[in-house]
Amino acid sequence: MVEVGIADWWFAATGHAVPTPPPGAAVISSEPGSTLVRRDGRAFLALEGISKVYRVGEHDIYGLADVSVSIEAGEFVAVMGPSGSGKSTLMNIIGCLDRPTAGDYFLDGVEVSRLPDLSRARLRRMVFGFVFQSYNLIPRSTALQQVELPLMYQRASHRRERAMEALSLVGLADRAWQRPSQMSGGEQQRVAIARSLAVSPRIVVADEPTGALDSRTSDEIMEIFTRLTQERGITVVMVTHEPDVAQFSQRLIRMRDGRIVEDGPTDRVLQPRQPDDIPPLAPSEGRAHE
Amino acid sequence: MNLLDALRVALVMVWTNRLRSALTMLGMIIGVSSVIILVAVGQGAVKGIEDQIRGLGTNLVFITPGAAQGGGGAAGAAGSSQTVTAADADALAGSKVPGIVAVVPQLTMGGQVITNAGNVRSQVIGTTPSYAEVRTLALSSGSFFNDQDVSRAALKAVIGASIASTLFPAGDAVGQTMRVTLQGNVTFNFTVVGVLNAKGGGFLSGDNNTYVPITALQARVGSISRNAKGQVYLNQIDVQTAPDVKQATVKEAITEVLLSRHAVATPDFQVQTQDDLLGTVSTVSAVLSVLLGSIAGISLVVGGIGVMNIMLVSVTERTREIGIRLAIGASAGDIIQQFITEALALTITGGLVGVLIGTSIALALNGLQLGSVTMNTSIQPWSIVLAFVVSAVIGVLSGLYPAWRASRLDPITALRAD
Repeated sequence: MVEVGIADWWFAATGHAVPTPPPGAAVISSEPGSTLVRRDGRAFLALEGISKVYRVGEHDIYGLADVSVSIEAGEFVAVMGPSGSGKSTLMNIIGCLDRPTAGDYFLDGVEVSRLPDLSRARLRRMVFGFVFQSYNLIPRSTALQQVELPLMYQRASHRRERAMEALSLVGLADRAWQRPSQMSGGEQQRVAIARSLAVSPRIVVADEPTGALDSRTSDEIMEIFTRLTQERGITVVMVTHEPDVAQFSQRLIRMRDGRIVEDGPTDRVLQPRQPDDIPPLAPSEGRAHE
Repeated sequence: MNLLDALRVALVMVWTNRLRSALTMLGMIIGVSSVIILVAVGQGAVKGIEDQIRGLGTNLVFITPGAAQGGGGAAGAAGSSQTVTAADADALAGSKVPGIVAVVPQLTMGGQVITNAGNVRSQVIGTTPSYAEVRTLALSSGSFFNDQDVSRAALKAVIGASIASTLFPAGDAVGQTMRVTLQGNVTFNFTVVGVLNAKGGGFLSGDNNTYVPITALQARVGSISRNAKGQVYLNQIDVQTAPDVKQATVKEAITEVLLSRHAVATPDFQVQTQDDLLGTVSTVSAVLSVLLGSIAGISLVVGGIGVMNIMLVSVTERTREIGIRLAIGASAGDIIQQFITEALALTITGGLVGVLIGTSIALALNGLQLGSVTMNTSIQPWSIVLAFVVSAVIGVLSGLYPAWRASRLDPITALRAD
């Protein structure tokens, strides 16, 4: 099975020449000190035996303990779990913001967790879009500037047009010149989503994107995510606390104490819970934050 | 991020934090402008002295007693030697040295000039009428004394503008009598025959001098106008050379004549051209410029430290922003570029404003009257270039460390910062 074609986008993104691998499994040498190992038959995102250990004083604390998970391109995956269950650590590792202590992370067949910092920065720039609970917009910059920023790091052309296009996608074209302080939480989050979409990412990593929003706005955001996966084939991996939000996803992963305890179609994973377990709809300020 | 984008982002940042940027720039502004102003004032002072040396007259060679270089301790100090004599001056005037146009002997004594209106310390210079021509003295009233006055040792005096205004406030000095006490022990009544135009400026102006026939001093103060050998000595001889001869040649010829007359192997006198004097001044000027420049340079460095301080604060304060930028794909290089560009934008803007303010103040100071002293400033293009380049270099240096710190941030830690 020839896999070269699949990872071509990766080499295009990181600026490396596409190597000619030997038949079958390929060992690809790219930058000094790094080896890209490509193997056949893996999912688009494949985490194999990922652990993250934090050393606190004399104790080792497992943020993630031997987590393996595969996610196919175009899937909309929600990750749920109590505080400290390792959801955010998982997201950071998937988004190439953090490195695992042990294990392999294959992105389209390429091991990326041990790539040099610069390659990982390029991956974040070209492949990932990030959406955070606290929006993480740059203060005092206009919506348009926020959305243009990742394009600037990409050194992309037609930045203004592309940024405006992304803003229209989230319905904020008319607010392009407003600053975060002049916008509501929902609008700010939509700007953050526009920023993550402007670069045409393959994967959107969202860490509690609706954590600070009311339920109506949350639904709007979730509809945008659903459209992304359905219309553009973008993979969305989202951490959430709220079953209401999680039900927009196709697949739900439950975590506890750094391990995956449940993984399946969202309908099925949510079902065993009795209606009593589902927290009543609360006003936005009352929602649990991590 | 390309350079143009980085510069645009940096300028937006500078503008967004207007007050802080302005305060940071103030350090650079003061540094750059003080370099320009101090160098301009120093050079202006030197230029003023040079102008005065040139203003002494044209094509002059000065002969003074004493060894040229140190030689015998204080022997070279003016006034301590009395090796140059009136006979030397006569010999030079009568010699066949080509290119000598005029020989002007001078005998200088400290004096006190007294009228009913006041009492002024003055240099009393005994000389001949050619002094007025050689030194291009211009009279505001009356005339210089003439050759006849010299041969008669007449008690006539020409006074500087400053003496005239003090001792004859009514402005009717010519024809009046004033008492002159020489060397503190002999007093004569001199009649004022002429008043000089004010020259203004520094110590060479001569506005406080009194000029009298040299014979008046020699004949009447005979006891103190002779040296140990009983020769009538001089403090200085001015030789004017023809414009078409090389002064160095004349200087050599004069040295030979005097060496043979004095029958010594090494000169017990100094022969200096105006160019020699100017050379001395430019040595002084170089030292002065370096001194003033380095004092001002210190303030530039202090300004640079201010920029670094602000950039460090800015990195700490914007940790979260840096985290966001790293998350959406900025590389460490992008972050370094951003902070260095910001530091550069601050220092270069500060440097430009400093150049503007420095040159404006230097221009405003030029010709300013401070008491009796007139400020001269001469703006040096090299000081502008230097100050500007140094401020840019400081920009890079002071941005380097904060930028490096910013680029080393871990994206996750940075994103968690408040």
